[in-house]
Amino acid sequence: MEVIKTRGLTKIYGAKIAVADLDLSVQRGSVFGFLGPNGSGKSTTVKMLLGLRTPSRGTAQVLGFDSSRESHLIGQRVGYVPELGNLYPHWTVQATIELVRGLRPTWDDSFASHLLSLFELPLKQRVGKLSKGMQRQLALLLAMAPRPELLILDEPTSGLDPIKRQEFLQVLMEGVADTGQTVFFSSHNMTEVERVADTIGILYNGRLVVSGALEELKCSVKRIRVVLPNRDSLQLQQPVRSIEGDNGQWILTVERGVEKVLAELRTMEPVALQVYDLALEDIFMIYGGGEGHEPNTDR
Amino acid sequence: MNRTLIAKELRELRWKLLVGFLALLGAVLLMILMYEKIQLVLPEDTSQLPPFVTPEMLESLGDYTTAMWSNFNDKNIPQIGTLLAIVLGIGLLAPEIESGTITLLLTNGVCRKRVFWIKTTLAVVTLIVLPMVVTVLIGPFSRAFGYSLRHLRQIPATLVASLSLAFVMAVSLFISLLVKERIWSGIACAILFGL
Repeated sequence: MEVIKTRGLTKIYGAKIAVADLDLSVQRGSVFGFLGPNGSGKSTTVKMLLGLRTPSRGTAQVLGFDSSRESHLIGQRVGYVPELGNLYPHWTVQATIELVRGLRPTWDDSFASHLLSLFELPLKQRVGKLSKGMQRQLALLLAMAPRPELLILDEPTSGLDPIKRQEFLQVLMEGVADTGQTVFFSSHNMTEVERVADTIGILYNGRLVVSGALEELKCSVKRIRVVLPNRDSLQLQQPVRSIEGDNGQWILTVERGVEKVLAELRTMEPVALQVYDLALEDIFMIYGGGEGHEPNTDR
Repeated sequence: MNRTLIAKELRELRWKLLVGFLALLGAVLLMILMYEKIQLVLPEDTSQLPPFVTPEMLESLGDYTTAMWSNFNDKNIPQIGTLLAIVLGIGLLAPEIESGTITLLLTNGVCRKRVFWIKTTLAVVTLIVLPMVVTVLIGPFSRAFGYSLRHLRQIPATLVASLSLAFVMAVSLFISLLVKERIWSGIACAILFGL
């Protein structure tokens, strides 16, 4: 069952298209990593999903509710950790918790206490006086304690040091593992997304350039190094995403059908033929335009 | 949910309410103290007074209830109350939108209409209740200083004056949503209502 479904979701600010014709599908129980470079439209998408921004066109459904007309119903069922703080800086931690507790009928007191002791948040301290890491932890507590069906995290670890980031992700994953919640995790940090996500979508210039199961993607996208000393150029019948190099040495990036590409290369009697697995970061660089490629929108 | 939101708003408003209350109360006490002093400086022979002092003015100064009525409803509420109404109006929604704290409410199941109505209703109620409470307190304070006040004349006038504050607050709120910046909204409102 789809927890998030968008069709042709578009947001235009003046002359700038922030998000263009986004068709997104997030299945229940999955941890969806929403990747993209800064300014690619991730936060705008998240805000449209939550009904905080009105789409210029297209539709977004979250948990079956229309995000433009039924955002309050979405808010009752979703936990949200924003990129920038949305907490009252002059309020104490305790008052902030009491406020959200009063707004969420599904608030789980024992789970909130567990998170509170885990994060060691000082109840009497003003939110504005907390470190950035503690503010993030408080935001996570507020998002998780109502036991929402869906957690939407927008760059939740930005600005945190590696230790705090690690702790944050650990708590998140433990919480999710217990309940089977769906998580929509927007980030530009590949390492953390690779750690937590089972499905990913990569946004580039407001367009979804790739989406699918992370493992499948890592299995299908490969890099091949081939050495053919007697050739000046390399042309293949099998489709490849890119070919780089010269003087008999080439690096090929293959999106699918790696075996067929290898078979074709073998017929050319190479002196060296190696296949490399790619990390998510490499895949992101390929689709996110980091290598100077135009993103492939066919996929 | 409504109770939580009302508690939240009262928490946000508490210092403004306290300052507004103390300012109005202070003005009332000053009025009572000044009344006696004014009586003392008035000459017995009214012909010595400047020509702009009309018999009506003299009558109002001579009658304690009238003096209180005109000072409180004609000066204190329009001055202190307007200032309070502007502060409440510009601080109601614009700062929350500006700082992004409103998303905490919106992403926890509160709809925009509810946020708007609870905030506005509370501000209006505050602007009516605060002067009314101070008006009621004028009675005991007057008695404490040896004056007798006809309260029934005072209360309806305060109610009308307070309603005008609700209008000031509504306009200030509108301006703050247009300008989206607290200081400039305040300046715009001060110029508008100062004129």
